[in-house]
Amino acid sequence: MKLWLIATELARRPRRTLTGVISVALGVAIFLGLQAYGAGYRAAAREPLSLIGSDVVAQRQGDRPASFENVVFPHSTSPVHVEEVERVRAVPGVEAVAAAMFFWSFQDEELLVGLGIDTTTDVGPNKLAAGVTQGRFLTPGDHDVAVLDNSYAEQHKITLGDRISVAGSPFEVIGTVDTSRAGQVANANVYLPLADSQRLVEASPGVRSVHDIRPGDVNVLFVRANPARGPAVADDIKALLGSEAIVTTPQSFDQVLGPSFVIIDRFGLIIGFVALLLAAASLLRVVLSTLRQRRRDIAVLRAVGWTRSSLRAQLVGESVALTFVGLASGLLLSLITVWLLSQTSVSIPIPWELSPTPHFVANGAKQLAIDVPLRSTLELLSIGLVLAIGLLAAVTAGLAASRRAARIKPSEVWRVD
Amino acid sequence: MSTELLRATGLRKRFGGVVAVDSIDLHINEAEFVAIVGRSGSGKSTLLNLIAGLDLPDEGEIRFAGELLRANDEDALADWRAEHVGLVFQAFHLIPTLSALDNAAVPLLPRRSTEAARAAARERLDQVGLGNRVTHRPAQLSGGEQQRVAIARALVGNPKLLLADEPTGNLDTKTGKEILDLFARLRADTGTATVLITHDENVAAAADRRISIQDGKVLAEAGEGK
Repeated sequence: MKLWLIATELARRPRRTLTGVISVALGVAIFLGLQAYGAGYRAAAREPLSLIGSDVVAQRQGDRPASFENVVFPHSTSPVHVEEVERVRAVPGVEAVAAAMFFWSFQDEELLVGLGIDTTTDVGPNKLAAGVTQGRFLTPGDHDVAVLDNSYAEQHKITLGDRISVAGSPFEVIGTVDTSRAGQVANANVYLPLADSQRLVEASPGVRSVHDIRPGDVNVLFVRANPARGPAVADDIKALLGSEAIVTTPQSFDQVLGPSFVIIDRFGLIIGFVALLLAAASLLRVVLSTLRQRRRDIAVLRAVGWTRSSLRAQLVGESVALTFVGLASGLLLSLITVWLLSQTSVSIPIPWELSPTPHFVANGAKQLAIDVPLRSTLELLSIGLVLAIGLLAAVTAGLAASRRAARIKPSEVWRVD
Repeated sequence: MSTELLRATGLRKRFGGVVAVDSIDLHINEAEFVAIVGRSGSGKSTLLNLIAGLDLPDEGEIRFAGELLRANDEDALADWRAEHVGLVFQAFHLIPTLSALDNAAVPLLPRRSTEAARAAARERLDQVGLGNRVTHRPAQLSGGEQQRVAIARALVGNPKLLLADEPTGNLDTKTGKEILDLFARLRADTGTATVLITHDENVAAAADRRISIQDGKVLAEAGEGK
């Protein structure tokens, strides 16, 4: 096989070569582009939980509060007892658990959303430490101190060192934080040490009247899991918390991303494969039609002593070279597509139960969402698959052409001419 | 005494109901110039295709240097042609996408390095007077020049037998004469046995031996080495 002869043949038949290259390039670009788009969406869907350092958020559906006074639980939560937390910690694949206490406090004719945070782990809302805008975040050993959401502090003109009242208890403000950095999950106006929030909740008649609240109870669990066991961990936790469990995983966001993602997620691979198959068919057509044009040349080669194996090497080489240029062009097109996609962002809706707000307050029913850049990437597996399919198609087309070429008899070609 | 290079015995070939070659016996000696003469449709081109192993006979056999050609093995025949036979055609049959140099090098490409094949081709192109046209493609050459490239291609592997089918058929008289002179000169230089198919008695007159064919049969044979 002579590479220069292959290059000469491809270069001297530019229309056919271009048709083959474009077909392969488009097939590759469609396949890789769709996979990258899907992967970008899937990565975006994981963003809300990854921003808060969790793979699973678990809570248990509760009852509506008897009245919206003082401290109550949102009805998307109910107590998770200490022993249940321990059982969750023991689930195979669970690497860390951050317990939290989410509550609403109705005071002075307004709503204050509070979150008690376990400061002993870097999982869950402790990630907010990275979003501190003034002062500091909560640390282990803190009590009677609070960190406020930026906008809440601004709205109420609260500054560092001020004392605020939560359900009648005073807390010193030690910091403010940009909560939008936590993916809009477990958004609160005020963040307290977990023990302080447990004290407020346990003392609240509004909670006690509805729930079996015990010392040490929490109502939200942020879980970091071994990626390989993520779905199994979610299933196990769901089983542990019972039929009322609300377990949010990255896959939960897939369902709220809308029909376009569902179509891409479900059919992207099929559409991509169809595009690749069409490209392979087009390649075969180009190679065989080129062979028809070259019948006389093939006859000459046979007449002057080229064996079938020499012809096969030449034709397979031409087919592989054509495909290689197509694959490279397709890869380049895919990279451009990925870059264009990365210039866009996707809005990820946050399920209400992850940041519950009463519907009757201003903006309470508003759908929270975060805008995430569509970080599409070309996956090595997809590229490998495309290369393998491309090489297979090229060799198949080359072999099909060489089989036909082997049947070309010089004397017959010249008799017809 | 001449050494026999090729012997065909009882060659017969039919296409449908037409017998194109009918029980022909012939031999070619080393360095001999044989003309096979006949009208159009007499079976002379079919006979040449059979001798070259491009067509398989329905009956009969061909021996080259005493060895029986393996008629059922196309690759063995291709190897044999590459090693021992040069072919020249009326329509030149050059590959349009290749330069004169690469066209002349084509028979050697599967068996030698590109450099070696091109070096041999360049030598042959010099020999046929086209040393200054090596980069030209067939479409950029005249008919006579194209036929010279085809002759260079036929001789590039130093064959023992050159088979030429109406090599002057597509050329004007003057160019045709130049090509025949070239054949004569090359044969004198290389000692290659030459079988030339022609319908032109004047062309055949230059041969050592003349075999006349009609309706697929040898009508007459004349000349030295008969």
